[in-house]
Amino acid sequence: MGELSISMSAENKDKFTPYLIGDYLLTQPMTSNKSGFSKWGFCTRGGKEYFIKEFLNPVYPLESIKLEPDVRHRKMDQCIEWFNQKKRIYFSIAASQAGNLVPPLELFRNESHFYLVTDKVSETPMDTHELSSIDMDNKFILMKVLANSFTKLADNHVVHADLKLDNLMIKQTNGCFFTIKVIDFDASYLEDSAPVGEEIQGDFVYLAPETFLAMIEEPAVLSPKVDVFAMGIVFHQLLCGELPGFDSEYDYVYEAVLNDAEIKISENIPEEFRTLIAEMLRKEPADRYSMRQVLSALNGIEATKRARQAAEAVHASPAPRAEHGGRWISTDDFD
Amino acid sequence: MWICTKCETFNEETSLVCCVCGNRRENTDAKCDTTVLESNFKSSMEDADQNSSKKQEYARIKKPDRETYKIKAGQDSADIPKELRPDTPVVQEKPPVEEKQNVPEQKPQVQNEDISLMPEPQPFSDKYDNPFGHSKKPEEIPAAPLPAQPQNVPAAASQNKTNLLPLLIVGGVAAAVLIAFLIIMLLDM
Ligand SMILES: Nc1ncnc2c1ncn2[C@@H]1O[C@H](COP(=O)(O)OP(=O)(O)OP(=O)(O)O)[C@@H](O)[C@H]1O
Ligand SMILES: [Zn+2]
Repeated sequence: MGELSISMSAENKDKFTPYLIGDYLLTQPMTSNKSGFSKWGFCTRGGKEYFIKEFLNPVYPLESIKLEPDVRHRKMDQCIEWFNQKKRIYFSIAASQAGNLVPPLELFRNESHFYLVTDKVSETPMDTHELSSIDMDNKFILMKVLANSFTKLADNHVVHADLKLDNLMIKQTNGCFFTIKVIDFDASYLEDSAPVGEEIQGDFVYLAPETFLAMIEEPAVLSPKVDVFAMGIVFHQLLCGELPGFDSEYDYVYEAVLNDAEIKISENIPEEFRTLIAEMLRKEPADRYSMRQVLSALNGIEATKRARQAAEAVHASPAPRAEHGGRWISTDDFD
Repeated sequence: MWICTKCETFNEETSLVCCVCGNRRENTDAKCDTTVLESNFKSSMEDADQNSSKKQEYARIKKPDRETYKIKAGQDSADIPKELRPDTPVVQEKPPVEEKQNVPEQKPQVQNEDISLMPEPQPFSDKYDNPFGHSKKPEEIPAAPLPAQPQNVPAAASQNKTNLLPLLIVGGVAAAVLIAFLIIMLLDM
């Protein structure tokens, strides 16, 4: 069975002929994504490569399809509502670009389906193995890049709602420096139109306690603090390669947090970051840091380190001060 | 605004170092206009299949040359309107016509869909038998003639379908004449 499907897919690949979706030429067959809500692939337009996603729902009721008038109207209304909601959130995401988001470029309909186009990033999602090869200076910048990008989103009341390592593409820029590109705004919403109950999407590993409450239709307010919680978990993984610890009776961080159980932040993480992560993983959104506070905390950590290094330099020898962008923060500093 | 080459963050014109990584601004750093960011996003609910500028562009071509439509690796100018393409996705993955008529829902695009949103099979089968993918009014069909029948299209199947009728008529008439002749012969005996 396994062999059969492999040979069949290889055959399909050989047979695939590029075709147009609107003005975009699909260059490879589309693949279904994990959630089964959409299919995705790569396309070109004007010599440039793009990422394209086909939404499996809603399906537009084409004129050529025989439908009872009321059914047609209902389907049409669903499409219009879905489209307007997506349009609003995508517009806000585009407006939040601070350089490191992969924002929506085009939302359109082709025959009965809706499509989303974004720039194609050639990079791969972050994995913990790859992370271990990035030095501490660079990891710190990655944290700041994230906090900066998400502060812009929060300013525009956008909740990404699916922040996780898989949705952070790691990109090598000049030299051997790495930066982050944030993808997948499928689960995103605006603060004033947060989903409820079964409409909520997200990854349980990174789920905020209030998101779970909203899922089971308990009173909860969903805000960009949902992303702060997820980012706390991402920072933990970034700094020590593991998820925060909690009692084995729980499966996920949010469960332990909701039950007021202890969250163990790894001893391998430098003290100032442990304090920050603890603030990001607070149960009550009101007590939790905002995105802007996370960014200022990181700036504070940076300023403290600089001051300490400058003081050490004065004490040691009259050696010249390190250049900007030089090595001012290191793993050794935290030992 | 300028874009930091190191972390790719957008920075204010007035800042000399990147607000995120502290990298110093270079004259060669790319610029960006954040006042137009929102307008980078486009949306439309109109059918792009009907509005595709590429399709219209190709529809204007009087005599499409088969060679024009060969996709050269990484060459976007080879973007071909679905109608003019030898292997449209509709035709491409479909089983031969005889089989397909029994399973009209086998169009790749509608797999995995919410069943409740699926249209009744009958109109779909009408629709997908049409090589244009729509039930278009004649004036909507591009003026350009179709390119020569491609190799991978189930050509035999589609030609069978169109050429069978005259053959059947001729055959039927011949058979009727033969039977009549035989009856007359028999009566004569
Ligand atoms: N802009 C992009 N450029 C290149 N690859 C991308 C881009 N966006 C997403 N991808 C890749 O495409 C795949 C599907 O992405 P997407 O995040 O939409 O689906 P998913 O993660 O499988 O589903 P879910 O939304 O349920 O998490 C992923 O492997 C992702 O790494
Ligand atoms: Zn920078």
